[in-house]
Amino acid sequence: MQWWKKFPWRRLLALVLVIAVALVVAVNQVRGETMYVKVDSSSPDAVIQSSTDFFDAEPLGKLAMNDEVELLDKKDGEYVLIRAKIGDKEVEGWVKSLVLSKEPMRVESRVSESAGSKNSAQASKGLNAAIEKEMREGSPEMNTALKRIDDYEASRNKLMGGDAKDPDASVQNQHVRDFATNGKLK
Amino acid sequence: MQKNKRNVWAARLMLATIVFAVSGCALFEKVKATVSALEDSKVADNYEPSEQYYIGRGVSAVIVDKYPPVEVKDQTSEKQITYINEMACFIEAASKRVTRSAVKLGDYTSRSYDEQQHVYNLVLFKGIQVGLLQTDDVTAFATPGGFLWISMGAVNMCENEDELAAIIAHELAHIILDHGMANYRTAYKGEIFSSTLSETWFSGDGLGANFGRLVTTFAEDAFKGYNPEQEFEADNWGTRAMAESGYAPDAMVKMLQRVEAYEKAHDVDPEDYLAHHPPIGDRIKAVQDLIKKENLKGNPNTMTPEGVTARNTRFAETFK
Repeated sequence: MQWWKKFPWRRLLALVLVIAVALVVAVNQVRGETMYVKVDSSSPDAVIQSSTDFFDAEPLGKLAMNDEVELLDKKDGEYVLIRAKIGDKEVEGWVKSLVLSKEPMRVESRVSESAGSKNSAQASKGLNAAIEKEMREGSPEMNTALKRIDDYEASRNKLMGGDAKDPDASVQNQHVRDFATNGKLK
Repeated sequence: MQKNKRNVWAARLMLATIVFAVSGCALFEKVKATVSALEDSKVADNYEPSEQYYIGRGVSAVIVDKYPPVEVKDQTSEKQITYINEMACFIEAASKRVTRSAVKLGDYTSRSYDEQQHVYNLVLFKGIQVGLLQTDDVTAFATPGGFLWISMGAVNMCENEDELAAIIAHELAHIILDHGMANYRTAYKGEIFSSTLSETWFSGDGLGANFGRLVTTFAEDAFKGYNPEQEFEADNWGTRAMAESGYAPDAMVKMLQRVEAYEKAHDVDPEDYLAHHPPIGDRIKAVQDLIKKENLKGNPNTMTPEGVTARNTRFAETFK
C-alpha cells in the first residue's frame, strides 16, 4: 500500500486546525481592541501612568483627543492597561477606562448652518470652536466676556502646566502631588 | 377595443405608481423627520466631553461678565490662582472612591437610571479649572465642562484651608455629579428658554445666536444656584470628599455656618441671592447628621498638629 494512503491525514488536519485557533486567540490577546481618547491633551487623565495610584505613579506619555490606543487585557479598578504610540516609541501604561471610547469623537459640527433651529439640542450639537466663533461674532458682549475666559485659561495653563497654549498635564499632576505632600495630606 | 383596455390599465398603473411614489415620499419624509428628532434628543442626551467644555466656557463668560475674574498680574495673584487650582485638582484626584450613587448620597435626588449612567460616565475634557472672582459677595459657581468660580468674598470668609476646601468640595460635587447638564436635559428638554440677558446679547437665528441664548439662560439660572435636592447632594458628596482627601469633614459645617452669618449680616434678598438654595439651617443639620451617621472623623494621619499647621500657614500666606 502506498504510504500516503496510510498517513493519518485527518489527525494532521485536526492538529492544523487546533494550531490555527490557538494562533488566532494568541494574536487577539497580543493585539487588543483599538480605542480612541475622549479628552484633550491638557487633561490630567490624558497622562499614561506607570501605576494606578495617582499619587505614586510616574508619567509615561501624554495622549490627545482621538489618539488611537490598544486596549490590553488588564484592569485595575477604574484603570485599564493600554499600549500607545508616543512619538516613535510604544508605551504601555495605565489610563482611566472612562477616557477611552470605541468610536472617535466628532470634532466637526453635527448640524448644518441651515438648521437655525429653536431647539437647543441643535444649537449646541457638534459644538466646537467654529460655532463659538460665530456666537462671538453675533454679540460684542459675549466676545468681550469670552476674551476674559481666553486670558484666564492662558494664565492658568501657564501656571499649572508651564505653557499658555499647550500645558503639560504631567507638570500639573506634579503640582497636585506637591500640594498634597506639602500640606501633609498624603 | 383591446388596445383601449390596455391603455386604461397603463393609465391606472401609472396613477398607482404616482400615488405610491407621493405617499412613499411623504412617508419617507416622516420617517426622516422622526429619525432626525430622535437623533436630536440622543445628541442632547449625549454631549461629548469637548462639547460640555464649550458650554462651560460660554456659561463662564456670562459669570465673568457679572463678576470680573482675578487676573494674574503679580506674584500674589499667581500664588492664589495656582493654590486654588492645585487644591481643587487634589480633592478631585483624592476623592475617586467617594460614591456617586444618588441613593447612597442621601437619596435627595430621584435620578433615573440614564441620569445615573451620565454621572458614572462623566469625563472632563480639560479637567478642573478654577478661577477667582473679584467681588466681596460670598458666592461660587460650577459649570458643565469643569469650570469652577469662587469669589474673593467667599475665600476671605474662610478662616483656614479646610474651610476653603469645603467650598471647593461642594462646588466640585456639582461638576462630578453632573448637576448642570442634568438640569439641562431634564428641565429644558432641548428647548431654549429666553432670558433677559439672552435677548439683550443675541438677535437673529443661526447656530451661534441660538448657542448664545442657551449659555446665557444657563448662566442666569446658575446665578440662582442649583435646586435644593442638588444642594443637599453636593453637601453630602463634598463632606465625604473632605474626609477622603484628609481634610476635616466638619469644616463643611463651619463653612455653612459662616454663609448663614453672612446672609444674616447682609440681609440678602432671597430672590436675588441663590434663590434656589434650600434654607441654610437645613443644610447644616443634614451635614451634621451625615458626619454622625457615617462616623466621618477625618484621617488621623493628616489631622496631626503638624499637618494642620502646615495647611493653615500656607493658606494665610496665600490669602491673608
